[in-house]
Amino acid sequence: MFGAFVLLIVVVMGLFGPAITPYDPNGMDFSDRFANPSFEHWMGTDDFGRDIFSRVVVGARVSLQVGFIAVTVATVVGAWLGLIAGYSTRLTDEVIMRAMDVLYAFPAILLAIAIMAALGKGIGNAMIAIGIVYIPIFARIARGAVLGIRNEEFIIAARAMGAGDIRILLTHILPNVLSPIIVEITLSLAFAILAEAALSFFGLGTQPPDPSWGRMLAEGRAFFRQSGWMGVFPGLAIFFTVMGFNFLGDGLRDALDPKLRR
Amino acid sequence: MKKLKLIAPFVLLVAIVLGISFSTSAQMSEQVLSAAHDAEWTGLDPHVASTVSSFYVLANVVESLTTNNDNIELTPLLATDWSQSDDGLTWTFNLRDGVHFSNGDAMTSEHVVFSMNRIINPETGSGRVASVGGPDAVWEAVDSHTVSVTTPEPNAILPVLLAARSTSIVHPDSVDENGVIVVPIGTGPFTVEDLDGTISMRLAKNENYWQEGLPLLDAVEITVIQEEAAREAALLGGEVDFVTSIAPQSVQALQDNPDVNMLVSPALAYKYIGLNLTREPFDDARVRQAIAYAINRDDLCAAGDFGLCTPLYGGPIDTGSPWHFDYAPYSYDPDKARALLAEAGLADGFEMELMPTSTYQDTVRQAQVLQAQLAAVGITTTINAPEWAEWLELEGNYRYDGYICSWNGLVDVEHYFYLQHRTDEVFNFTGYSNPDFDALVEQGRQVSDFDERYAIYEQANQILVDAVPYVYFYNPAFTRAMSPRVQGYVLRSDNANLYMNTYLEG
Amino acid sequence: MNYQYVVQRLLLALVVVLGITFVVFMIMQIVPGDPARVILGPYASDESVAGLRDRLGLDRPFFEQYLTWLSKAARGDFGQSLLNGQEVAPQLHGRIGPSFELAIVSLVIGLVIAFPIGIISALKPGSAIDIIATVFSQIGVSIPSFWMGILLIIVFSLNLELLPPSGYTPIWEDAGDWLAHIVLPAFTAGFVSASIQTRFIRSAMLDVLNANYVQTARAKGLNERTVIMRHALRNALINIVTIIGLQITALFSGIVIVEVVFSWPGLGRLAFNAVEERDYPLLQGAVMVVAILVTLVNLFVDLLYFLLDPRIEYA
Repeated sequence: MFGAFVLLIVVVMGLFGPAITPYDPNGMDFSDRFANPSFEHWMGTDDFGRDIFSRVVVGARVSLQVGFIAVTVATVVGAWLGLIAGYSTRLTDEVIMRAMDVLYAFPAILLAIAIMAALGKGIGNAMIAIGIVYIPIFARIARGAVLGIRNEEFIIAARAMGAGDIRILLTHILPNVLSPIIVEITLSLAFAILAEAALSFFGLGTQPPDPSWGRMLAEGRAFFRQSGWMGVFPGLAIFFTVMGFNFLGDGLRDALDPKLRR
Repeated sequence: MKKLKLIAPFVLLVAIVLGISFSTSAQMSEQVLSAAHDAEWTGLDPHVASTVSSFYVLANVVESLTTNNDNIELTPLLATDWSQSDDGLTWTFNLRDGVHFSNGDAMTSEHVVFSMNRIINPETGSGRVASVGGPDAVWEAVDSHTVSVTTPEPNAILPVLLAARSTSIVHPDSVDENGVIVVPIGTGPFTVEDLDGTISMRLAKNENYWQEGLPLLDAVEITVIQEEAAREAALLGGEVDFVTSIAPQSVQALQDNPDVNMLVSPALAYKYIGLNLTREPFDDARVRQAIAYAINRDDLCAAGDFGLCTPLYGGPIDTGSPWHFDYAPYSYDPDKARALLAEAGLADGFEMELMPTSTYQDTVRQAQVLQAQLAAVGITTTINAPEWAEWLELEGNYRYDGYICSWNGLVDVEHYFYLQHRTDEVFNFTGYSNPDFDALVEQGRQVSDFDERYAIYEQANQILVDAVPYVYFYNPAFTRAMSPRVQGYVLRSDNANLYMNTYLEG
Repeated sequence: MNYQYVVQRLLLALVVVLGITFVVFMIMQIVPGDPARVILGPYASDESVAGLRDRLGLDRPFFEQYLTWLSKAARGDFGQSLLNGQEVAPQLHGRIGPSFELAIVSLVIGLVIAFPIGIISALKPGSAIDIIATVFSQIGVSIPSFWMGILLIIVFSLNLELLPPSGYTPIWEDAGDWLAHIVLPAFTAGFVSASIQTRFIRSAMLDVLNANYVQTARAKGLNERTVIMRHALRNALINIVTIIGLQITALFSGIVIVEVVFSWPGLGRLAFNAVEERDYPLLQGAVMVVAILVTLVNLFVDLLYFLLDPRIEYA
C-alpha cells in the first residue's frame, strides 16, 4: 500500500510536472545560488540558482520514462526470447540461452557504458542500453516458467488439436507465465531508475539542461560541501520511488505467487 | 672491569637507539613528494601525446631545445643560442655541452636530428609537425653540437615553437620495435620508474641531470585521483602533499585553510565558442556579432569557473600578456544583439545546437548558461555533449553549429591566431577565411621585432574580433594546492607542471 | 562426481567468454570516434591520423582484426594499449588482484551484515526487527552507489579524517594500510549487496523453517537452537550459495562505479577509461578478464552446489 501511494505521487508528478512547478525548472538566477530550503524555494536552489523543487518535480517524468521504456524493451525482447527458448528445440534453446549468458556475464554497467558509447549519449539511448542489459533476466525467468508448464496437459491437448506454435505460445503459455514476469517488471523498474543515475554519474544519461534525478544527483556531488541540498532531494526522490517499486514488487509477488504467500 | 661489563649492554642499547634514530632521520631527509594528478596520462610519447595530463609528467622527463621561463619569456634549454640566416630560411642552433640522457649517453646533434625527423615522419603520427618547421623542413647535424633546420618559407618564430615540450629530444633507445615510445629516455631532471598503466608512477631523480644540484627532490610519487572530492580529501587528510587541480567552487575554502597552500594563477588560455561559418545563419557576421553581444560573460564565468576568470570582450589575450590588445567592443547588450539579428532577417530568432564535450564538464556548464542567455535574444538552443573522441570528429568535419572549448598554453601571439584562423589551416575548424587576415598573420611570422609584430597583430586581432568566428568568453585561472611543507613550486601561467625546483621543508 | 557435467560446464564457459569478446569487438567497431584522433588530439593533421591508423591496423576488415586479436590473446598476448603503448597483459595482471580483493571483501562485508539480519528477521517475521531489516534492505537497494561513496568520502575522509579517500596499498606491503584503504570502497559495494542478500537469506530461511523436516524436528522436541543450527541453516545454505553466485556478476558491476569514485586500481576503472578513450585492446583485455573471473566464480558456485546437494540431477 505504501509503495502504491508513493508511486501515485510520482506518477502525478510525471504526468503534470511542468504544469505544477512553482518556477521554470531551467530558469537561472546567479544572485541566488546554493540557497537553503525556504518558503520561497522549498528545496533550495542549485549551482545555477535554479529551483530544486521544480527540477525534482519535472525530473520525475524523465526518471519514470527511463524506467518504463527500458523495462519495456527488456520485457518484450527478453520474455519473447525466453518463451521461444523454453518452448522450442534443444538447439534453439541452447543458442538463445548461451547468447543470454554472454550478455549476463558482462558487468551490467560496463555493458551499458559500451552500448552508450556505440549509440551516442542521450536519454533515448540510455533507455535502450539499460533495456538491453536487462534482457537476459527476463529471458531466464520466462524460459524457466515455460519449462515448468510446457508438458502440462492443457498444452499437450492444445497441440493435439492442431494449434500452431505461436498460437499456443500466445494464448496458452504467455498468460500462465505472466505473474513472475510482472513481479520482475516492478523490481526492474527500480533498478532501471538507479541505472539511469549511474549512467548520469558517468555523464552519459540525460543531457543538460533537462533534469533527471540521476543527473541532478551526479551534478550535486561536486557541490556537496557548498550545499548538501543539491544532492539530498533528488536522492530522496530516487530513494522513495525505488522503494515504492520494490514494495509493489514484493506485494505483487505475494499476491500472484501463492507458493510464496505466508 | 666489572663495571665496564655492566655498562656494555647499555652502550649497545644506546648504539641501537642512535642507529635507529639515525636511520629514521636518514629516511626523513629522503625528499619524496607525493602528488595526486587530476587525470590519467594518455601515453608518455612526447611526440604523440596531446593531453595536459601527459605533459604534467613529461615536462619533468624530457626537454626541448628552447623553453619559457617562469615569466613566460623565451630562454635557452638544450640549445644555448640560435640564429637565423639572412634569407630567413635556415635556423642554426648551438647545443649545450655536457648534457646527458638519463641512461648516461651524452646528447649530441644526432639525437636532435633523430627526434625532429621522428616528429616529421607521418608514420609516427605526431601532431606537432608544424612546430618543428612543417613536413618539408630539413634538419641536419652541422657538427656534434650544432644543428640546422631549413624550411621552404621563412619562419621567424621557430625558436618560439620549439619551446613546446612536445618537440623534446629523446634517445633513440626510447623507441620500441613497433615505433612506439612507452617510456621516453630524456635529458630531464627526472626519470619514469614503477610505471603502473596510467594510474601511478614514480618520478625518480635523474642522477645524470646537467643542471648542477637539481632536482631538489629525490622522487615524486604520482597517483591519479579523478574525483574532485576525493582529491581534495586526500590533500586535507595528508595522503598526498600536492594536487594538480582544485574544483573552482572549493578554492575559496582552501584559501582560508591554514593547512593548505592554495595557488591560483591567471592562465594563458581562453574559453570560447567556435561558430560554423560553413552553415547558415552563421555565415552572416551580424549573427555572430549578435551572439557576442548576447553573452553575459560575468554569469558565464560564475557558472563555469566560480569567478576565477577575466572576461574577454574583444580578442583572446589577457591584460597580463605583452600581446594584449585594447579593442573590446562586445559588452553585454541584448538589445543590440536583437537589433543585429533583425538586420540579418532573423527578428524571430533561430535554432542552433551547442556542442560542449562531456569530457570537460565546465564546457557543459557553460552551454547551459549560454542556452539561457541566448534564449533571451530569441535564439533557441539544444545541447549535445559527446565525449572527447566523438567531439573531435564532429568538430573536425564541420558537423556542428557552435562548439565550446578552450585553448591552453598559448605563449606567443602567433599561437592565438595563425593555426586557428588562417584559411584552411589545421586547427581552423570554423571555416573562417579572410585574405587580409591571412596576409597579416603570414607577415607576422616573418618579422621578429616586437613593436613591428605588435602593430601587425593588432590589425589582425581587430579583423578577427569584428568577424567573430570565435566568440571569446574569458581567460580562466589554473589552480594547484599543496601542503605548506611543499616549497619552491611555481604555478605558471602556461600551466607547465615542473617539479625541478620543488622541495619539502621539515 | 559427474565429470561429464563438469566438462560440459567448462566448454559452455569457454563459449560464453568467446561470445563476450566478440560482442565487445563488435560494439567497439560501431562506436563513433577515431582512436587515432583521440591519441593525437586536436593538433594532428589528417596525414598524421592516417599514418597512425595504418600503424595500428585500424583500417583492416572487422573479422581480420578480430581473428588476429583472438589468436594472439589465446597465446596471452593482448597487444599494446593504443593510448599509452604499454603491453596490455601486464597492465591487466596488476589490476586483477585489487579488483578481486575488493570483490571478496565487499562480499564478506555484505554477508556479515546480511546473515544475522536475514536469519533473525526470518525467525520472527513481522516483528520490529523484521520491519527494521526490511527498511534497511530497502535503503541499500535504493541508494545509487556513487552517491553513497562520495558521501562516505566526505564524512569519513574530509570531515572526520579517519580513512583515506582513495588509493590502494598492496596487502603484502602494509596490511594495515591496505585495510584502511579498502574499508570505504568495500563498504559501499558491500552495503548494496548486503541489502539484496538479506532478502534472499530471509526468504531462504523462511522456506526451510516451514519445511516438513524442520517441523518434524521441532515436534521431536529438539530445542529451537539445535533445530535452527543443525537443520534449517544447513539446508538454507544451499540456496544461499546460489544467491552468492548470482551476486558475483552484480558485485562486479557495482565495483566499476566504486573503483572510479575511490580511484581504486582495478579492472572496472581500467575498462571504463578504455571505453572513454576508445582504447580497444585494453578494453577487450579488461572485459575478457572480468568475464573469465565471473564465469569461473559461477562455475565454482555451480560445482559447490552440486557437492552440497548431490540429489540434484543434471541433464
